[in-house]
Amino acid sequence: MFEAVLHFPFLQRAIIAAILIGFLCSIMGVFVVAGKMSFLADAVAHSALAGIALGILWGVNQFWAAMLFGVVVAILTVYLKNNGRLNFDTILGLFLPFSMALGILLLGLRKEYTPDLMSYLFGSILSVSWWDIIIIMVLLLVAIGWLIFNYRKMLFLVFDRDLALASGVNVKVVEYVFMMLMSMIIVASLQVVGIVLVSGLIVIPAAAAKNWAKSFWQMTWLSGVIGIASGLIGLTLSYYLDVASGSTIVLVAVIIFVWSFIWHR
Amino acid sequence: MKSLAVNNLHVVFGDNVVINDVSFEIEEGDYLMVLGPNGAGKSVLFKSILGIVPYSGQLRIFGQTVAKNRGAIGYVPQYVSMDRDSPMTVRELVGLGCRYDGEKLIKMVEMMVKQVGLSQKIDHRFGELSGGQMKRVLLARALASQPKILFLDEPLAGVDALGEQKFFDLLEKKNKEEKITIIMISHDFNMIRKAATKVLCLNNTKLCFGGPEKINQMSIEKTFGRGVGLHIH
Repeated sequence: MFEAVLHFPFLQRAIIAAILIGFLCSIMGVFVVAGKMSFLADAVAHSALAGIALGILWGVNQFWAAMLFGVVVAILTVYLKNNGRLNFDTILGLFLPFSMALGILLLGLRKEYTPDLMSYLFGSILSVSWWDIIIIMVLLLVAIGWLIFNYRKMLFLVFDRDLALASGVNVKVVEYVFMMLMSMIIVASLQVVGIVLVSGLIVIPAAAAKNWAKSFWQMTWLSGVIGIASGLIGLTLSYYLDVASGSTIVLVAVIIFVWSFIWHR
Repeated sequence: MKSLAVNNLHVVFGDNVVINDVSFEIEEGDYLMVLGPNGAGKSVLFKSILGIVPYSGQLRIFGQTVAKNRGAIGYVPQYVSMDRDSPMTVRELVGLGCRYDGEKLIKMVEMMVKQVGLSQKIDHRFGELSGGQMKRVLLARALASQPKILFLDEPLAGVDALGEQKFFDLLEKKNKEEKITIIMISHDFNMIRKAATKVLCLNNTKLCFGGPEKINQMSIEKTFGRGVGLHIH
């Protein structure tokens, strides 16, 4: 594989994407898991389908349309949670079928050729472009910057929202920014693992890290390490076994989780 | 100086009036106990003062709005919503309350954890502690912010007799030596008579307010209803 990597730029891009997305999703996933919002990744990823459909129908860039739709869903989710009587999972359970239904309906309206949706559903890491890598890099820098300045606030929020409010944390701003950032990360990850599997990269490394970690800080960096390891090992295995890379990456993360679970017991 | 001034406080949830026209004032260094039956609005009173629930009326902490004086407030909630399997440690949790960074933060956290008698648990997961130990950690977190006024919402639920005594001793020390104003929701009438300098009886509206001598069979029956079978020693 090493020789092939030197010769084929698409493999170089795939490795970089696997490392960056593995790290980005898993490090942010810690707050998703700790905040009991594991359904978030599924709901936002599926909402991207409606965005993609809108992009195809209107003839605009599907990636940006999906990102815009994902951000709108994130904003609406926080708004409904803070201004209604529904909990987080119920609201996400509302958006997931809505977005899927809307996406399928919009695609059905199109009479002409509809591009292959399989790469969105299951990812296609080998077709990642340098432009995709730049977007992922920018998101990674923004996410790290956000965590450096807001780690304590995020910790407060996952510990107890009321206590965070009482202690002067601007909870609404933190929630909106985090959710928008998460939705952008999820949409950017679709190219790598796809709509169906993206939640695996967000939830599984954090869940495995939770089994091993002796502190929240340890859980955060350990999740990042597991995310990178899943990406690299999964991509290498998929190369040698000639199987789908997104699925292999997620399955490697699952194996690490099982290891952590047995170790923990 | 007045540490807390509440004027014409109203809290309404839909059609339900939870707090109806409550007004009272306490001085710096006061030890106020709030008592009332379940659903009397005690926790909501705290949450409105702390800016967690919307309200109408006027609230002042040391003469300023709550938003301008958040640094002066410490809060020990009745429950926390955290996942008990979270790996968050006592050290990390107490650190959340602290305004410092680096070496100062570490020292402050260790000092506060020592004050609540849990030094040996400092690197343990918070979720693995007993209910009483959790309450002590929450108190340490609140004290780490060096508050001038401390709100405690039924902090002694689940705490054993020895833990309860230690908890009260520490609060009394903070109150007497550092002049921290303490406002506590409690159902322990004898402890109220022993420690409180002021008492507020609440049942959606203010029923009595004054010194601990206000706690007698009559005021209890007025607050909780007749025939509750409460005995004061």
